[in-house]
Amino acid sequence: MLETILKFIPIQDLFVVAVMLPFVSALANGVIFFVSFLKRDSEPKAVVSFIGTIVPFISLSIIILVWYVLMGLEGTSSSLITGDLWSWNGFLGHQITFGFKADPLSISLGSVVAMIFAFGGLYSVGYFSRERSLATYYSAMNLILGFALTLIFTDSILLFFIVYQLIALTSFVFIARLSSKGEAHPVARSYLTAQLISSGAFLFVMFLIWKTYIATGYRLDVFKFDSLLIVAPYLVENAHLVSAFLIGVAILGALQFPLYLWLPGTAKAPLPSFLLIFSVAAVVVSAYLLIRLNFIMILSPQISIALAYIGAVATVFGALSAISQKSAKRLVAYLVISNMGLAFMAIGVGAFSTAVFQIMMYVISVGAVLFGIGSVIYVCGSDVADEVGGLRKLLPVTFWTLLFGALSFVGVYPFAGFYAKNGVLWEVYQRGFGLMFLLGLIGMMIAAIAVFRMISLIFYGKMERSRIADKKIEESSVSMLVTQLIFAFAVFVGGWISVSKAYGGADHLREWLGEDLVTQTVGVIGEKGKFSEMILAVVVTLLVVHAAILSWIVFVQKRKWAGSIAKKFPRLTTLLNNGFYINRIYSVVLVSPLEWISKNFIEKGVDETFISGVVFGFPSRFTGLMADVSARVKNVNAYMLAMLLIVVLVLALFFAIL
Amino acid sequence: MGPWILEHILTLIVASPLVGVLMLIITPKRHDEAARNITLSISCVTFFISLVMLSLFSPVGRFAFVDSYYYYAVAVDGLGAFMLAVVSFVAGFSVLISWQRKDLRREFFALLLLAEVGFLGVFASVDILAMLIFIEFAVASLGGLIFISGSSSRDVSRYIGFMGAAALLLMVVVIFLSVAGGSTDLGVIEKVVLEKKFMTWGLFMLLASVGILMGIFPFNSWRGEIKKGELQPFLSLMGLAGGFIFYRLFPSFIYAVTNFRTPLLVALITIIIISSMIAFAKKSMVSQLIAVTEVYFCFYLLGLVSVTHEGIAGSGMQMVAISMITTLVGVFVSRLKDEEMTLSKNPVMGSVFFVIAVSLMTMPGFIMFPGLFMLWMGLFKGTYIFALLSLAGLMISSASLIGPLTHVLKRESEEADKPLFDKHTLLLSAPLILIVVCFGVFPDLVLHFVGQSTEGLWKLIMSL
Repeated sequence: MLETILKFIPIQDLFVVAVMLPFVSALANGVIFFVSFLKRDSEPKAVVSFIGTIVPFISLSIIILVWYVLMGLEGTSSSLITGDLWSWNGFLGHQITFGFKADPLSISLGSVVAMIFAFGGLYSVGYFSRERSLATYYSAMNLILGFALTLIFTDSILLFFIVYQLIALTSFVFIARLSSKGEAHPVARSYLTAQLISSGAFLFVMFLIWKTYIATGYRLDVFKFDSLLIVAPYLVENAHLVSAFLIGVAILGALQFPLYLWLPGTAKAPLPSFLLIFSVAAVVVSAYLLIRLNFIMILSPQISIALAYIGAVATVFGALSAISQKSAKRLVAYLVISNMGLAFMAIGVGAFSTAVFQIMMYVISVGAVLFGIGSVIYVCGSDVADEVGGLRKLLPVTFWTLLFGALSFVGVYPFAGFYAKNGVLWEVYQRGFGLMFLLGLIGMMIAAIAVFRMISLIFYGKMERSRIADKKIEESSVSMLVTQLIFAFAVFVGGWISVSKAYGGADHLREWLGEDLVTQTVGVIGEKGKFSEMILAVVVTLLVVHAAILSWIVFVQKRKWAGSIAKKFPRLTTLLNNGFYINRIYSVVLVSPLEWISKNFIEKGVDETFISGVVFGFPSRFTGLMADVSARVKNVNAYMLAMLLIVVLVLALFFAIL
Repeated sequence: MGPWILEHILTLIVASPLVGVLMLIITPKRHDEAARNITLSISCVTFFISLVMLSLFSPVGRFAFVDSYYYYAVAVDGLGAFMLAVVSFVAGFSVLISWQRKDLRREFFALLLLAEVGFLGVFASVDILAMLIFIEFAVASLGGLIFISGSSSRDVSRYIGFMGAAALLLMVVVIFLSVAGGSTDLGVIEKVVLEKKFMTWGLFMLLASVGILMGIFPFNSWRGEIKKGELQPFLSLMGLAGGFIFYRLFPSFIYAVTNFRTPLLVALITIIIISSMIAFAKKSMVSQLIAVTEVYFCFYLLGLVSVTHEGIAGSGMQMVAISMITTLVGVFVSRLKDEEMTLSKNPVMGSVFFVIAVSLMTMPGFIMFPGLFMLWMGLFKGTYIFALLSLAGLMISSASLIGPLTHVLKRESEEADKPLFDKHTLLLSAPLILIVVCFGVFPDLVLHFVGQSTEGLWKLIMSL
């Protein structure tokens, strides 16, 4: 079968099709939207959903096929290159080319992104079944998938940058159009501001690399990742600067502490959009940048360690902020920060393949959790803990799938998250970063409390609002349930692709990724053996499970405890509810001063008072006089005559001097 | 096409709007409404001839289509040739932008054509005296346009005051160069080595006059208050003409530019940051757009002052980009009835604003990106701190557009009125949007011409 397909279409061409097809789907749905808009007619929903859903599945299938082919390749660096698909020779002697490359890193992340978009599309068929218009949604979804795949598979950092910006722009448009009342405006503004700063930092990195390159005398397309690998050793002098800016880009893009300003706000988006655009696309591409440029990151161990500590703090901070959220989506938004904190810890300590594994497992876990929450929202119209409850028996499939997702999300054995999270903690621990390990562990425990609080309230709590109770509550549509079941299965078996050797596995994925990625470069790896790794995993899991059980006791068995704790520490509760007031702090420290300086000092003080008043005081009086004159000159002929006279005088003066 | 026409094709382009002026003069007053048709037709003819010239453009040396008669000497390199097409395109578009303003009479259109002559002359001249005369011609005609298009007398007089100063300064520079070179021919002037003192003063006077023409801080007070949509493209052409004069003359001051490079870069970056903050402080959408375009004029100068091949090429690209974006701004401003407009209420106007805003934010895929990218490369070749600071300036100016952009994208409630579908604006803006995206995605379309010019200039600078 495979050979028959490949006889007709070379695998390289098929690979290009996989990346490009989502753009075609986006265009097709865009055209349907415009035609319907112009005709003022309703959209053919079945066609729109079919185009929007089938394409990501085709892309996913091809990517899996490419993965399969890559696995069969022998050699130290297995990759599939399309060659230059587009080249630009006219740029002052510099040649810039773009192509696609599938290697272990890109294929791993590309497949997981394609998978969540494919199933997200399928899930959306049911979730949006009551909506009148779907074309713009499916168009945006496929557009972002196309951008994400282009970004992951490109062989050029320049194309990466371009697509990175376009993802940001598309996401911004999406947030800005979230509501008609303007609540989303501050979120949209913070988001685009953050992305613009991130892009600026990205440009800085690219130019610094380029400057280094021209000094070396190489005649390569420097923006190719392969060329960067050659130029990288020359970056040693600026390694701290480059790494610091790269981290800045990733932190802003991947919503990491302390620059996550906009993420919780995006929880207002419809669930599939929140999952695909903000919880997956935005965070994965930013982390991917650091992993792709791993050979640059390792040049500055100090900055890398700083990143790891930022990740560790984020793990705790995100989990703490999540713990008292009433909206389940908002809670997950904070846990995205916590989970990506773990990935950043792994990147920071140089365990890049573990970071990739963590990101992959995070994607399927967050998918499983959010698909479950989506089902609750679809059925009850709300995800707020006070408004829904007691759904365990009413929605048994949703309960079990969400429970599986939650167990993986917090890292409980034998679910996918367990292998990934323990992998990260082990990498940190064996390099001797005790504090970092401790922060990661605390973060995981608090995250477990937060997640199981949500599960307890939604499935074991009481339905308190009559408007919800009046509704007939039954499981959601088939497309949603199928997606939930598939993801529940995925979180159960997903971790098996890289079971650590300490637990008797072969660690396939990390071994395979390790061929292309630098490993074990930061910190000193001690003589800790497989047994220590296993013991550590057991201890971590026990603590996390205990945290989950504690959460269940407090929020299901002893619900009054939670209330009395909140009453005892009202300030702490408010602080946690507001995410430590980070948005407010930024507004006070950065935005307000900039606005004040711009308005009162620059515009009124410098421009109007000083420049217009003092510097051009005399000319102003002169122009005031001229104004009186010109006010009296009512017709254009007189004006033209005056101007002609001036021109003649000027010319006469000119020739006289000459 | 006969060789005679080829020899005089530039003169034909520069002079063709004058035919329109003549036609407007002989048209009886009772047919006043025919004025815009005549002007549009003439602009189309000029644009068509420019396109023919552009398609035939393949210079052996630095300049092509040389045509001279005493002080009148015209010839074009790649940038000049492209800008001639841009000017005639923009002039035609200005007529279309003003199409619905029934109060505009033939005087307005005559002045518009005269201004076009002036701008075409500046981009075609290779004689500095002719260049000076053409720019003054354009200045005077544009003043007339401002005067009769309904701007306040204060705005007109402010314009005259500033332009008078610019003319004076530019004239002194031209005299400096002519006396030192013993000629007004650009080919001779470029290679003249001025005395150090003259060179320094000359450079600063040139920069001041160009700054006034461009309307950049601190000479921006004449520019900001003129908000008539139909004037925006021409006001920007004025800035670009000033910028082009600097492009042509700055090799004569290259030693001074090199000596003062650091203070010049610092000054320009400071201006960029201040202008961006002024844009940030503006409340009206139109004022913000106008203020942000001022920032791009500073970037244009920054690229040239960086004295790097990439920087100069980036500036050349910026010139084309600014002209297209400001024309689109003109369309937007002239058709804007309500600053509370949103994409849902008015999809066409909303889309136009979206394209303008994201272009001005230098998003890839839009016209501003390739030029600024190259420009920053040039800046990075020097000291990267300057590039970083200029990037910060761009961030602030972009941030000023985020607010209005977010508002425009706001979704309207279900109960809101049905969206307004403005076909006239769609027809007017669609070709411009297409150009803005096309030049952004395929920069080679512009770079093919601009690159020839900047390469010639770079070789000249290297030889000095």
